[in-house]
Amino acid sequence: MSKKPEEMKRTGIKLLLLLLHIIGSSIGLNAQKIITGTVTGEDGVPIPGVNVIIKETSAGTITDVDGEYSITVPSDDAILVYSFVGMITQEHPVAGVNEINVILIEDTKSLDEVVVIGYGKRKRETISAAISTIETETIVRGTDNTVAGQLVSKVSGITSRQKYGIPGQAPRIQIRNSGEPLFVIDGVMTDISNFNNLDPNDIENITILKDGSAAIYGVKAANGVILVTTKRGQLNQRTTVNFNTRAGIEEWTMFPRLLNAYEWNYAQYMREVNKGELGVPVEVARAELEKWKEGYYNPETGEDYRGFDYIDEYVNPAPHLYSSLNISGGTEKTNYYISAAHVNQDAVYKDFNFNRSNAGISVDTKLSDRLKVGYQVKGRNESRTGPGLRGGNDYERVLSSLYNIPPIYRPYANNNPDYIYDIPFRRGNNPAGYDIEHSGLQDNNLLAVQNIWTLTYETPLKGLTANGLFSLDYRNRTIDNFEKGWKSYRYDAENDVYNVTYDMSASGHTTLESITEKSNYQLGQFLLNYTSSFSSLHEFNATAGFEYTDTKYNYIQVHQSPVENEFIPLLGTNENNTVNERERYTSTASFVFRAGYSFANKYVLDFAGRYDGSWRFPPGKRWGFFPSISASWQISSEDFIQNSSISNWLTFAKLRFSYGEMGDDNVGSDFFYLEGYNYGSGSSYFDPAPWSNAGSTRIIGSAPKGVPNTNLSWMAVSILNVGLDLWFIDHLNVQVDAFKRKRQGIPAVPDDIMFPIETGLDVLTENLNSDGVLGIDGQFRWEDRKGDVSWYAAVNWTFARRKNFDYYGEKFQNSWDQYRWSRNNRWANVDGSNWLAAQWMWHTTGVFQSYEEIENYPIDLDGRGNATIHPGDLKKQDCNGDGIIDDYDERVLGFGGPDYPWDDFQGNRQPILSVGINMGFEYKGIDVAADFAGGYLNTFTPDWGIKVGLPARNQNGLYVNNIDVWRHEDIFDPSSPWVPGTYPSIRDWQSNAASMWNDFYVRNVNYMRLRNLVVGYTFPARWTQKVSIQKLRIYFQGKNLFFVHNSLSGYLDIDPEISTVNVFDYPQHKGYSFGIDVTF
Amino acid sequence: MKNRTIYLLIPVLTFGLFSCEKHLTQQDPYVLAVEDAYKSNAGINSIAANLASRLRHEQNFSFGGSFYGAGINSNRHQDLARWDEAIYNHHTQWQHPGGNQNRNYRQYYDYDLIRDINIHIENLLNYGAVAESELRYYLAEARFYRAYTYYEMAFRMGGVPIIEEVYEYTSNPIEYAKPRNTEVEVYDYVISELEEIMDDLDIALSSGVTLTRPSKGVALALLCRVSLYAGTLAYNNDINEAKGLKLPSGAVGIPFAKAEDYLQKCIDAYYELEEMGIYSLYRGNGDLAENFYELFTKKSGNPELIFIKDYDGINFPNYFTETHIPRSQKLGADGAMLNPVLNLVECYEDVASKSNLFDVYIGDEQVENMSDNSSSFDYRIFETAGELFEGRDPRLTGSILYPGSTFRGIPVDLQAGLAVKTPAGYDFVHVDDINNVENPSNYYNGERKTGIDGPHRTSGFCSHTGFHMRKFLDPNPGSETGGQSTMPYVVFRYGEVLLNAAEAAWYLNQKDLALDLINRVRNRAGGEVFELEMAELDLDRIMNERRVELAFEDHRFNDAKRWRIADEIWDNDRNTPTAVTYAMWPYKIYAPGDPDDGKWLFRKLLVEHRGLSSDMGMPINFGLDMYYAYIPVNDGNPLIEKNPYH
Repeated sequence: MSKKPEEMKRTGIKLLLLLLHIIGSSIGLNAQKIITGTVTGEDGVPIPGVNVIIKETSAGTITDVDGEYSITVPSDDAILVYSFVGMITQEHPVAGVNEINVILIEDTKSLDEVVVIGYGKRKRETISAAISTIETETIVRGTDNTVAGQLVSKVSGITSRQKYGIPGQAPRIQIRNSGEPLFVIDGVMTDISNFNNLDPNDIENITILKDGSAAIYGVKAANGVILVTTKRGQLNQRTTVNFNTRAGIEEWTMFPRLLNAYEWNYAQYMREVNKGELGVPVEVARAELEKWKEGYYNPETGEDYRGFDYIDEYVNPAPHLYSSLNISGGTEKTNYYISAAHVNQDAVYKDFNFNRSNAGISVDTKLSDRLKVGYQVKGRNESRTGPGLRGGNDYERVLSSLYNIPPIYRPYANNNPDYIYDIPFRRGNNPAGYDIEHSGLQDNNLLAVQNIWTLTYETPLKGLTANGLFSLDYRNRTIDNFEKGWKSYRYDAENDVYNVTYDMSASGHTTLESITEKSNYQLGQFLLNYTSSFSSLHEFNATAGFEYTDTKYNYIQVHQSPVENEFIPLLGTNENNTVNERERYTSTASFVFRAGYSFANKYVLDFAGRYDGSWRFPPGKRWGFFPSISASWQISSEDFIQNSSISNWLTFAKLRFSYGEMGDDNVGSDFFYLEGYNYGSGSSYFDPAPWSNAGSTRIIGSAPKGVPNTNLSWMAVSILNVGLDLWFIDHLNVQVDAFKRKRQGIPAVPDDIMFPIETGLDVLTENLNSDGVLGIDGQFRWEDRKGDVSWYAAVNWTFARRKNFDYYGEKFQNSWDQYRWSRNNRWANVDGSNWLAAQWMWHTTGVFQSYEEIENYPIDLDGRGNATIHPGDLKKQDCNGDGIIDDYDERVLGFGGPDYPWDDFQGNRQPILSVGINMGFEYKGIDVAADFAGGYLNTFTPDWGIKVGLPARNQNGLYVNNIDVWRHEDIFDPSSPWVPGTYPSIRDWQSNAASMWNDFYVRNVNYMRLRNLVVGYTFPARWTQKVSIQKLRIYFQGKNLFFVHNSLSGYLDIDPEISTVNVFDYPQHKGYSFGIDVTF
Repeated sequence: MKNRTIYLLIPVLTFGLFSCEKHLTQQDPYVLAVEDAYKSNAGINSIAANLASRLRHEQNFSFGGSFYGAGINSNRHQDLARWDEAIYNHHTQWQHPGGNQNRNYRQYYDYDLIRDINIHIENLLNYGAVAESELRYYLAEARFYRAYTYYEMAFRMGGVPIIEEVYEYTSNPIEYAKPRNTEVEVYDYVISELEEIMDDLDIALSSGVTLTRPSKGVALALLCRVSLYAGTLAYNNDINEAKGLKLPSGAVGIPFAKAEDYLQKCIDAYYELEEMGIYSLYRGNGDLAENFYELFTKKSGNPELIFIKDYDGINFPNYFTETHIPRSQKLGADGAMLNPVLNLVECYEDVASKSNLFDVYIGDEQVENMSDNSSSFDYRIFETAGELFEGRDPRLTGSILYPGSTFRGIPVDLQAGLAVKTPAGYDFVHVDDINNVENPSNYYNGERKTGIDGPHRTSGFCSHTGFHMRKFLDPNPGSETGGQSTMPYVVFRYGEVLLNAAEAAWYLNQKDLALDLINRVRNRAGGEVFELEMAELDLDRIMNERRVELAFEDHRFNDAKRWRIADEIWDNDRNTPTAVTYAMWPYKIYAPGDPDDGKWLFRKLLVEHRGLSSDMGMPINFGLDMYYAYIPVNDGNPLIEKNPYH
């Protein structure tokens, strides 16, 4: 190992000398001198490939793999210029020395940095669009398994919400609250699953196209584009091996306190007394409650008043392990990158697990000076396993049981762990049976392999390169779901027997299911790139090319219920089987182009566009053109700035403008433009050949598809963006972008057109409505270094609010109706016709303290002269002052509506304002970094038990709104005086607080959480290099350690990103992990 | 050089774009092209299967089953419990059985189906590429489905627009607005369609005729029913006038003059069916009660069936057995949701006396409340619980399970409680919850209080009335789970045809024919002794005959409606005996040492499980606005006239 570089170096020097000799002889020899030296970074690591040029000549050299160089200069007057991408260029006069060692400093402005944009790259300085970029070191900070999770808080333009913290589940991220973006990985358009399940360590950088520059991705780019570039080896790079592993423990961030058995009985009795429905004599109830209070237990008689805490028993901290290994390197002609990673995360529930293995190789090799080929393969295996619980969402079932089972019941009959108790009202639901042993196994396994072949040919025409790319993405998901039944028991003390009172199998609630889902996605791309600069001032570049995609998707499900046997989890022929197959073929074809011109990096003009064809539309309507234009002006290069004192503190200023049009082809069902018969709609068990009386057979039906819709086209989205990039004294970077997104042609039924019912026709959807998003995003970032300390602090924010623009066919009888129901030009949450979009509700101004106050209250709150109002009930604001509280007093007081479990799309919204704060410092090997993620202007809308308290004896409830309530001094005596509490007295739906929407229960949510905290220590290189370790770092990472502010704290005490109305969401994890990162 | 490149590029680009179009064209894997669909019997059958599956049958047995899915919606078997044949006993906290209905009840305006049938007819004519005779059958079949749908619409809604056209999509849909055809026109249309297609449907073979698709017999059976219905409406024209059930336009109301024509068509349809020689009353079993029960369980070798909706118990599940089998045959789970009421049970005559009242009290008949747990009434005492029902019309045994009945060889365990003899009369003790029947701690002095099948006042999934269903229950063990019953739903059977013709003959004063037809039905039911003399025959007898013969077959509501008595018998008044429903609860007498100990008495009780939780025991309501259901209207067709009282 030690000799070869030496030899190479020598050969290199010889060659260089020869070269310099030729150059030198051409300029004429005169006091020649050889300068040598080493170029290193701030960390002392040599930098190969640094350009060393003699100023004002074209003569120069580059540093070798050890960062060393040698150059012959014509005279002592010469000045050497050292430049390298991402580093501040330095000049050193030769001035009589023979050796110049240079330490290059990272250029925080990174204006020379090359940024990936759609179908190409650009120097940051000449970027005129609104993009955000994020580099590998930032991406890997954090312990989220998904890439989306690793992006949260780190970059402007991204909003996020993570309603479920289920292992393997990603937060939902959007670009500027515009919906799910398009993901492009290494130039290949792909989907969110491929994106989220990349190993974060494999990512080199991510670019987010936030504005019209996404238009180059055409009919799928309406919601913005996230471009990912994965790591590759470098030519002439020594082999580097990096190994990173960490282990941690995780638990729920936050969950509400539930009632214990005593509190539960206390609250039940309160409710029953308040409603006048106490079912037992008061004295009996008092005695019972006393027993619950003391937790009376007599094993002799079986009397058991101890209650049970299900969360305490069945929710436990879970391990989270992560390891990754990558090897990269390169020779003169070939570079490679090999990686493997594994993550293993348990849920806080028994037997629930997520694990994923990633592996990949990428190799690029130069076949000749002009021709380079590359191949990349990435494979991954995602596995989600858990007990085969009944129904679709197993995590939800566990949570629902934990939150719902009345705490007075214990999980085992007679506390004997051999007999799972048949819990009253919760038959078949008992966490004691929620494990693989009792419930069988659900195994969801995804195997995905992506291959990318690339070809780059530098044509003889200078600046023109041809690029070919072909990608084949194969995915196979298998779901084996074996829902076994288990028996539950009641104990018969008299005869000392355990009786099976519910047998899930005998009741037919067993399922054996096998699903295979396969997809095969191809993408081919051919691009011509041309760059040319006519002098150093004019730079021109252009890209043109063609791209196609082709997807085949197949799904087959075999479902057996009830199962034939509960021993062998394999399907056989059985009359209980149902089989269901689905398939889908999609294809697109596109022509892309881009042309850019920049003058002295000062004025930049960029055109881009895509001529896009989608299979979703009928012939003749398939093709659409999606153009974009952007321009920028680097004001700071203008003389009037340069020559003024402003340039002392304003070191860089650029004004950007962009406009682009994109499409969204997701407008209707597949093949809406075709007629024919839908096979598989309705079926009959009848005679297939009546004239031969063949007997009944199952004949699958076919129904007319309906009138084809030939008018529908894609939604057209346009984005206008104006942005500003500023650098103050080279340390403070400010980026601000204001934008307006408009989406036109949202399909809707023109409801003023009515067909007679007798025609059997319905009016078809058309591209009618429009909406959009308005907002401002940006960041402030300070970076500095003093001596051994370097630090940074950054704030980024995305304010993006959705608005409705045009709604077709609105007609109103009066101004109130218009105010209440109109959607035209209103914020999206002021949508009166969709109560799930946002809640119209009453504003509350406090609670009644006494009956006297209620009697003297001038406003009729309940329509019955306040006869149903009790102290502790809510005062609602009479907005229009007419003395009664009715619909006319409702206002929109929140930003989102309720999220019911059957439709989490509606209420589960992204915050209007997302904020990220990132800070960190490094000092002598110690590094500390913190990422705060905040969400503002969002709403939690509770319903059911959260509003009404305990509604019945068949479920449990929260402590806060059942105990901290207005109650009678003697809860059993309704004539005793009221004692104040925070919440109204519990009377379930009779309560005036419960029965109506009001801002007493509905709360706006604003929070800031410490998403990542990283503390690391890198051992000094001089120690580790002795054992051939380039870098050794140990670190601690904390995840979601605390919320800085949560408007739900003290109220529901739930994770602020939860949204289901009854808070039955699996919250995010908080975790602590320790890791080690080694580079050889 | 440059120019040449451009010339080269043009064909390349043209080819490129052309192949792009091909690349962008995908086939819909779920869709049959219209031309392809009509090339084969398989394709046409598939389309016919869809249409057949959409025909409206009020008692769709493939609904229900699961505990939660068994709501009492229209178009489900539980709908039987709306009127005076049965009640629905699915008593949970949230779901209360059988509240009253409004003018939307049985609304049916399925022009989506009409459109699809019209498209089917048009496509058969344009693209049909199968043997000519088969094509003729398919066309006739489609027209049958259309006629059936118009019959269903007309009887519920009155006259509706007759649409045979497939409308093109238009930007000016108002041009398609059409007023209602008259009620007469719709009935005439249905009748003439049936007459026209009858011969094309004549596919009877020596091996038998299809029961699951239209045949000539099916067309005649529908013709027989439709013309009776239309004929009765005409015949009752004066009642319609009196009750305001007419519209000047004729959209509602049939002149009396049409009565004879319609009624004669009904009789003629019977004659023609008789002449076909295929259909007759089922007499496969010597035991008359079992014979009547078997009539609904045998799909082959049963000459009485004309048209059925068939179930295979797998892909076409039949949940009727699962939902309504007695609790004792399905322990611990759901079932027993439909309970026949005494109102119907009393209609089954005593074979010998031909009288029908149950006399369970000594002295005046009483009606007691379920909440009364003691009484001083004088009850008749029976040796066994079944004694009371001995000698009744065998069709009672064939249709309903009562105390003393057996099903699948197992006795039904019906016992409301113990009647504990006291000096003042009786105290009645019942188990607190049907789940605790067998729990010894719930026994009364060691004696079990209540039977597994109930009846019980507050528990669900057991009898509430003292009776259980038998008609349509599957005799095969195992069929009570997973919808595995294969019993058919009978749409048309010969017994109905005879009763239709008998009624029409009565109106037309062809009394000998009427008597003959009624007696054919009664003979099959109870033997020769059960036949009537001419003097015994009157319209009430004919009506009652339909009630018992066709019980639970979705005739009672239609009959009460077309006889124009529905608003009188179901007048929403608690004091009208026909508007409330009754139970008959058997009690075992507990009187150790007394000669009556272990014997039985019966209490006639008002049914509580009807109505809302806040108004249990609600009387049945049929308002005048329910004779014709509400026609859905929109701005698309301003010409639609509203029905009376709407």
